[in-house]
Amino acid sequence: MAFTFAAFCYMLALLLTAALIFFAIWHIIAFDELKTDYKNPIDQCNTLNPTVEKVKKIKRVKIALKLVLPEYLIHFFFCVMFFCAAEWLTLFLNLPLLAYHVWRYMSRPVMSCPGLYDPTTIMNADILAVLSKGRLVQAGLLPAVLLLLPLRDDLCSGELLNGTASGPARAEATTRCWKTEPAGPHGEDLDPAQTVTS
Amino acid sequence: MSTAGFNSQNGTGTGQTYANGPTQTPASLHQVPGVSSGMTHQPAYNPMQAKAPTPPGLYPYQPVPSFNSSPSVQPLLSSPLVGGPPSHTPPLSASPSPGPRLPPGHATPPPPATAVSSGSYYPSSMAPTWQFNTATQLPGSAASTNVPFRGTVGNHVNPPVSLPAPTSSASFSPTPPPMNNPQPPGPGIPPTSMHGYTQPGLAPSPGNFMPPHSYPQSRPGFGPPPTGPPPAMKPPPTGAPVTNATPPPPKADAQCGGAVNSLPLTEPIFQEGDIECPGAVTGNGPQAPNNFNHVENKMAGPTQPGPPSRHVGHYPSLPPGYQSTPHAGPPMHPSQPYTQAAPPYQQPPGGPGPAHLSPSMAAMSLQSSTPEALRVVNLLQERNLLPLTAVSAPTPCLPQDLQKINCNPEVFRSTLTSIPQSQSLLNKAKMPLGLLLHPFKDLSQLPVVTSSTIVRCRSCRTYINPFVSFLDQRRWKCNLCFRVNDVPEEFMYNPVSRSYGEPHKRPEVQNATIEFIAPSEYMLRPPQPAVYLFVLDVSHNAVETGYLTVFCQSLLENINALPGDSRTKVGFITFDSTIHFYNLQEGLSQPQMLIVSDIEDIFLPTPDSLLVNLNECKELVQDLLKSLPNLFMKTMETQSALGSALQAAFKLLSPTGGRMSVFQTQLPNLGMGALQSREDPNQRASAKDIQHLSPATDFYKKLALDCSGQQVAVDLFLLSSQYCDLASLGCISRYSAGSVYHYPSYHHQHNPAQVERFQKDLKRYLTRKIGFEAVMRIRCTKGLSIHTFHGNFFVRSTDLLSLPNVNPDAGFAVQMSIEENLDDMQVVSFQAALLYTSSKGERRIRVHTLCLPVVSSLSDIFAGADVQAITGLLASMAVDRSVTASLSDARDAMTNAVIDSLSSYRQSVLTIQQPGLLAPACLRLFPLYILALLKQRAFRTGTSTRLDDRMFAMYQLKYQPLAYSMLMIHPALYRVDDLTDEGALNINERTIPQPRLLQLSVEKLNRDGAFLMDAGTVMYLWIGRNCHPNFLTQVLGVPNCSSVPENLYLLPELDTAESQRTRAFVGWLRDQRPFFPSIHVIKDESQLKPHFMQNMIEDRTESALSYYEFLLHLQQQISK
Repeated sequence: MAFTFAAFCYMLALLLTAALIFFAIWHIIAFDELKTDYKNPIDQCNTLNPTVEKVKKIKRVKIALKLVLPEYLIHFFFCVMFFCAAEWLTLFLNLPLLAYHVWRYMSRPVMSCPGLYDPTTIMNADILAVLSKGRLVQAGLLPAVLLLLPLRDDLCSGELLNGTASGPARAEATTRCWKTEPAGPHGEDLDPAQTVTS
Repeated sequence: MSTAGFNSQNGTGTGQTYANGPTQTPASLHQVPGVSSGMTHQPAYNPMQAKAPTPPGLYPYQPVPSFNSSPSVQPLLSSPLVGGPPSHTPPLSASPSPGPRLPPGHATPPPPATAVSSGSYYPSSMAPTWQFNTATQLPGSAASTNVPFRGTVGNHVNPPVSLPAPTSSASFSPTPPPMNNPQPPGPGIPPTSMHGYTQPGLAPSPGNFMPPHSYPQSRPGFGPPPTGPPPAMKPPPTGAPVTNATPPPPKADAQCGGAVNSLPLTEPIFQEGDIECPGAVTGNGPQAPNNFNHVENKMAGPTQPGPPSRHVGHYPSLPPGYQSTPHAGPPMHPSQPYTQAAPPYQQPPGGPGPAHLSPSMAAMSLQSSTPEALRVVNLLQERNLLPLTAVSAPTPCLPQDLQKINCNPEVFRSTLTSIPQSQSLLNKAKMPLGLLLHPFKDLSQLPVVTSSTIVRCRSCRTYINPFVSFLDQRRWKCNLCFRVNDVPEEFMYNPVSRSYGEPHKRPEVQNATIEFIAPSEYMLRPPQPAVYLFVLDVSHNAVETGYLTVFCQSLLENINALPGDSRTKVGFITFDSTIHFYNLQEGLSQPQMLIVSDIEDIFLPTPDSLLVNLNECKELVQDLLKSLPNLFMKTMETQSALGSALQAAFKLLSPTGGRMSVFQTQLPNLGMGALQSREDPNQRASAKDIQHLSPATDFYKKLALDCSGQQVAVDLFLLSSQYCDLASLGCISRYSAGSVYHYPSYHHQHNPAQVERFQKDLKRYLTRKIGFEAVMRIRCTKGLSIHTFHGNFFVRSTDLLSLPNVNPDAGFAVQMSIEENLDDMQVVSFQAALLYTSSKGERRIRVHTLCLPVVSSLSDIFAGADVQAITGLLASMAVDRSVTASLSDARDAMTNAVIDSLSSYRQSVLTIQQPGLLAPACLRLFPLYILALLKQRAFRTGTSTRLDDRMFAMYQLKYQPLAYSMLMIHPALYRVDDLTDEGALNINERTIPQPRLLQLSVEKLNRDGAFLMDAGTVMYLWIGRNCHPNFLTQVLGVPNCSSVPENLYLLPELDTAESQRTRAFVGWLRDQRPFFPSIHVIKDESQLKPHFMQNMIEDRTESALSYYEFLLHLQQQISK
């Protein structure tokens, strides 16, 4: 059983998706705390946004734990991985989400530090509703992805096991896989598309 | 009895503004407040202690246990609403209206010809000039659209009208007829003909119905045909014999008669009726009974329009067809109807009419929903939309006992005075639901309660208010969350009547606006002292403008009037490229200046002595103020390190909190928060999208949030001639609940008008009441929730605003949404509670409660619409939209708001479809106001507007109270050269003439006259070239037009009747607001003429539609 780079990518993505689920749930809780008047928006936004002081204070490893930016970076990271592994289809399915993240970050409020959330506007009912709905959708879909990724992983490894397939042949194999197992790609697909529309 | 003597006067403008705390007895100070004693507890400030010294050991801020557990209340007077205008409900007193007794024919005196007279304004030229430049083209080509205005009456009758269903009391009357019904046929008419009118709701006798289409030609039963001036229709003075003598609102009489004749009404119903009809929006001057049209409509619907007599006019909203009757117009009306015809009809408030109407109203409104507010108005045909005097807020239709104690609309106002039952209903109505608040308004009468326990709902923490219900003597039910609470023992005692067992008579339950002195549970820390820090720009540019002298003088003059007590602290920081601190410590012989040049990492050189106690160091402060202007006279430093100065000031204030007043004259270009010029002068007039409305950096916003956290508010005075990037700088005030003042092109010599305004503003600013470390929470009945806040503050949670400072000139707006259906509720309530520390160091809570009815039908929602509040809220929403999206988006959104609500009205409420642009009477000003907004400095395109001016206008729209921002949006125009005492108000033995409001159109101007335009912060006096010399000499004291000075701050005090009248009127206008509008004289060649002309909203400009074109545009969109 050849443990290829692609298979590695999928496994990594699996782990990272679990991390993303954690982020999503965390955001949902944070927004809910805001709604129920439990926390001050300044504090809450400071937790959600990586503020400069925090970056200085907290050691590098820990920063990754609490932020929006890491979330985007994780996604970007496994897009790059899939690119390197030449998993074009998976990459293609992830591109919309990547584009959404880029757009979202470009259109963030004017801020001098990294981050997405502005404490002065976050209490606006519309904005808060959109944000928390987006996170809910994410939290609902990511587990699906989580389940489907190993499947995709297996198929990928299995196919590689069978043959010394070159690029095009592998692509063919992949399409076959799609046909036999439509749920896999579908699940993959849902995540970016849904998040974008939300 | 604890302190019973609280002074309820927290009056306006005067130096005594701050006297609404208990008087302080200096003797009770236990310790001398030291310079650094900001946080020390000073027992002196415990209100209770002033009267009842507590044992020394007692925690100073703890309320003294009240001796008999009875709260003390200051003498509260019978009038529950504070400081507002008299309530709008028509007086109940049965006025001696001749109506019921008179033969019907006499019951209707000729309606006053005030509004009507538009027909006569253009006696000879029939083409009404809707748009000043295009009027002339109307006749020929655009016949289809313009016909209504030009043709004879007959042409205007819409076909649907011609099918009167005699029995149906059509709830929505077709456009033109409604008004005419109760019309006076004149003495000559047989009483029987009136009969049809006087039977509202009943089947009128068929004989009275005229096919409307025929009325232009033949009107047998109704008096003379329109051709030729009918003798019967005389100008009012000579009109119907009986009623004319005492001119009550004629229609009122008609109705009263009608009601009495036809409907078996009982007295109680009458009373209800008074408030059933939220019609006040018509604001038809004092005599606007709001109610009568309601009845009229019913009658009018089925019947034919009355004779097109001009008398009908009286209502501003009269269909123009009648007004412009060619025949009647010219001969009857003098050329200046305002003065000659109108005044007689300006009925003093409380005239007999409204009172009598109420009975019929009650009956009517119960049976059908066509109150005056819903009278259909065809805007395309309506020439005179404006009411005679200022537009007033509509009255919610609540039972009278509730309405009587409801919150003053100037303080608390809702866009919809009838709350829809569900969000879907609200969505159908397409109108914004929101509240407009002016919570800290200066009130002339405010009940203040001191009580050891403040009674609140145990679950939602609502303060007890007039709209709660007492289940029995011991329990009350919260009107917001419906929880049943116990009445505490001490609440059973009523300190006003000194009786026991009447909790519902307590002042808390009798007043919708009330103030509590809060006990120590309401303090997170001891109340802070009043702390004022002034941060002054002293760069070369600033010295050039000369503002420093004015500032120092103003402060010197008002230094004793600064609100505060013996703990008050002041401090000064000046800055250019470095930051200068002033050590004012007691004991120094003269102020010591400390310069910090390390602006990147700012520190405080001597933290203890920079903020000093004003009373102890007053001489040093005065020394400093005297020397400051000279100190920097020769400076050549051009850079400005505003960001660092703000940080220094923040550091200085953060231990105590307080107010920071920043004076800035140029773009900050050094250190932190440095900005770049973003304005491209060539793009000022661009019709394309305006860029750079959002801040360039978040430095100021973050600093403002830090300030907000430390209870520091930043007020920004921007005095500059060049671009200062208010969009970025303004954030510092916006999120710290400060205020922004902008004086474009300020210069001490070149621009005396601005100097004057700066002086007056500064005086008001320094002496006005102030509340520190405030929070405001807005609660509403379960099912409603707050969507968005507008104003200057930081939103700390869904319903809580953090206001480091609150000032009496700040307004707030709130958008609401309905989350759960309100099916089972009759009324909903809103409560705004403002908790603040007064300048005397007392913690106080000011509570306003508003109660509104819930309705289930669209027509009721429309009937309760408050067009001014809607406009104000839309303006705030549009400001947000233009910052987050784009200006053109915001403009489209405003236009769509009108289109949506009018088309929703047309589709869902109107039962009879007819051509034209139809609006309910209460929304008839909506398109006009929206057009005014589109032409307002904040939102206009195509006209050269500096970015800072635009931003400032936007800030003003957001944080000014509605009363002031409405004048900014739609200025009031009056003719002042012929003021008379007729219809004048009498206030404090002064006679204040009440000229009528004119439309903002150049056609209303007259070379022979003088006109006053009141645009809120500024007034323009337009003097015609041929202005009557009498006015010039008697009022202005100059022999001819050319010698009138450009700027008049005060009208000369001449001892002539004309002068007195004019000054009384202008003074009255000024008294209505806390700031001082200066008067600019506009002559033909004046520099400021463009400013004046830009306010002519109804006229066409190069880049914007005229009012009539705008209406056509709306109509086109609606009929799509």
